[in-house]
Amino acid sequence: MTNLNKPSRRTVITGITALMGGLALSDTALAALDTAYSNGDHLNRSFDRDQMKTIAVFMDAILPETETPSATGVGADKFFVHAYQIIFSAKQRKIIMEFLDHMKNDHTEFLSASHSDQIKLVKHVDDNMLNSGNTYQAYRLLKEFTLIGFYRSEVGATEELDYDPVPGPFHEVPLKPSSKATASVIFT
Amino acid sequence: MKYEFDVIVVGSGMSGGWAAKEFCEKGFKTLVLDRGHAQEHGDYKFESRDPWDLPNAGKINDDVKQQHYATVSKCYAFQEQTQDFFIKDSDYPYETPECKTFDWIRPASVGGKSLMWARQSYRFSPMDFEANKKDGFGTDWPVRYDDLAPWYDYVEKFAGISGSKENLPQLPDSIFQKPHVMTAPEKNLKTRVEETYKGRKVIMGRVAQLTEPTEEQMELGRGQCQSRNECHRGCSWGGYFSSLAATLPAAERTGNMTLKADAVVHSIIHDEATGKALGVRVIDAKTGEKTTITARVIFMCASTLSTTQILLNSQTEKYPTGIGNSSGVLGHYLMDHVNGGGARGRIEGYDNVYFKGRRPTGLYIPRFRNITEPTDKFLRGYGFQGGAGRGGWQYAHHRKGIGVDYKNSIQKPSSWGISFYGFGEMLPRYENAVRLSKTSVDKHGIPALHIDCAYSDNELKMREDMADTATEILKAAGVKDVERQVNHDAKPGIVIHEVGTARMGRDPATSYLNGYNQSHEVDNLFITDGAAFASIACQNPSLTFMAFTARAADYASEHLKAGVL
Repeated sequence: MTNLNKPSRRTVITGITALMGGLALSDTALAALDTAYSNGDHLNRSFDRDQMKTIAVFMDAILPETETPSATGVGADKFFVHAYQIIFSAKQRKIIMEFLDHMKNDHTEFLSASHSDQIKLVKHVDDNMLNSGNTYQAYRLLKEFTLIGFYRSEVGATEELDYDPVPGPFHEVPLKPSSKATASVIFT
Repeated sequence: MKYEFDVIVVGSGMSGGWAAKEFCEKGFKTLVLDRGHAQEHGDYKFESRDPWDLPNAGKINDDVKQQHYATVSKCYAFQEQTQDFFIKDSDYPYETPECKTFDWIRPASVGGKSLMWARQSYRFSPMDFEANKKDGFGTDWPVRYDDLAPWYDYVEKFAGISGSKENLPQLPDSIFQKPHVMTAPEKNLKTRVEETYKGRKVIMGRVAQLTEPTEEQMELGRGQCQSRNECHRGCSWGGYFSSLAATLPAAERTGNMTLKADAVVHSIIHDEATGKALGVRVIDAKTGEKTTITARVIFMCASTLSTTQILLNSQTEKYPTGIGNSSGVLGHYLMDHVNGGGARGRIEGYDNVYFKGRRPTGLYIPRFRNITEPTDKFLRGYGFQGGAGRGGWQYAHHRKGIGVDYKNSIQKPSSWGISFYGFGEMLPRYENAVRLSKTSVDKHGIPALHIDCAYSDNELKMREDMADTATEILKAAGVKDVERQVNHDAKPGIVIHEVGTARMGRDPATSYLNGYNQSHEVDNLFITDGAAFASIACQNPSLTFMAFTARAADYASEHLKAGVL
């Protein structure tokens, strides 16, 4: 059903004025996206190739390669596809797909932009991540599952952090410069 | 009449496991029935599974939660690794009045909630058993602390409780294995709080975790806790007490126990000619087949509200509102702890202090309100549970940041944080009650429970005071950025300490059970789970379930041997 009193999603998106070489999502643009609504076509499809690339750019901007691989280097992007299909609620799938649709349709330069420009855009979204609205909610979900995908991977748990499945009786130890945080979480 | 069993125990969790052990060890042929699916100790699906081998990283789809696990998913221990241990709410609905939530958290397997409990273990004190008489709320307990003390000793030696001797009148010491250790900032907090408030103590949380396993415990295959903190998945090493790890194996090795999973007890059969319970009606959860099973004695240990549901559903001409319910108190005086009040903050310093292992307990601040520090704002009091720690990656997604610096920051533990939250005593009130629904049934056709329960002004004032005193305590200890916390959305049930709907008492006209957990009217019917409680105190109740069950089983055994039952 069409609601004539609301702008269509396309109208909203095409009204966005992008910053930073046409890449950044301005606050105004993001707020506008938040008020748009979808026709529901996001519910029965998974990510296409460009959307997967976008996910990968965001993930590796959040957790890049250091002495250990980046987020996608341990398969966090593939875990995100699994999460989208199995773990996310319909509402979560909707906001993720809308976010990725927006990136694909209205920031066509994003994937071909320089690495530094891509980072600038991700940082811009991250700087505003605590704002309300579906876009930021989508980003927070993407960020959360970037961390889950990385730190719950074998490399993330055992190389980036300290994984000790059977630590023995609890006791205090000094934190040395070389010490790493525990990979385990309570109640897991 | 020839009975099929000497004893039927309904439920195989915290209380049922003890009943099974005690009767089997005393030579009685005992049938243990549990509604839940079979679960063998040592065969825990997710135990020791590395995080990268968890299909969904521990997560469960929110839509699935809402559709099938709307209530149990509120439990802190509900996740992918433990999902099979929780009941599907959609299979077993219950009702509450609109805007009067009660979160009824129920288990789904043999072992019950003893598999997923938080293992905190505290004795009730002499003043707890006298509280009702003193202020007039509820009925006087027909027992005193001294009646139960030897049974606390008895169950603690077998279960294994770690803790420190403190000689506190409001929190009697247990038979302890050595306590877990405090971290440096916790020791500092203890010193500063105890210097500032002479009536407040900060102690190590007492917990049913083996730190010095005994020969008896090791004979059962139990070993020292290894600080994995994966208890809720099940622990094949028996590092913590569960019926599956401890009491049921003890019962099983006698050869006297028959354990039936998927056995839904519909009701208790009452023989009006003899006035006794004859046995139980059982529905096979898988096939729907209905059977009856007889025994000389029935022990109800199905958990407070499930036991009460079965009792209410056991209706006869003589007992139209439930077996043994001439008093009319069955279903009334429901209690849970009140929580939701506390404080948290940040500890400066101790940057070079870290820890190895995941300590399976925290700190405890025993009750001081209306003991060492009176107040006229409310009756009774509360204890605090909490502790200090350094967070890790699981909290990092909440904060801003990307890139190498962000990733490197996550590689180090965060700064120290600390929190305390109260567990307060809810008064026994007649109007907090359950009854059978007139319209709703579960998937076996058994009438659902209608639960009508709310905190009173006393509990709400207590919750505010928890937040005030927790804030004071943290500030006194030099904690920074202290945030006073009150969760107004916390409703009864979610603490999962529900008790009181078939209470003990001295007068059969105002109580359901006598001082031995025995029905006033049906003398071979005993209820030894939380339903029997006349008040809730502020301590976690499981240790008291165990002590009452062992004591009642001893009493019933003597009467069985004497031919009285």
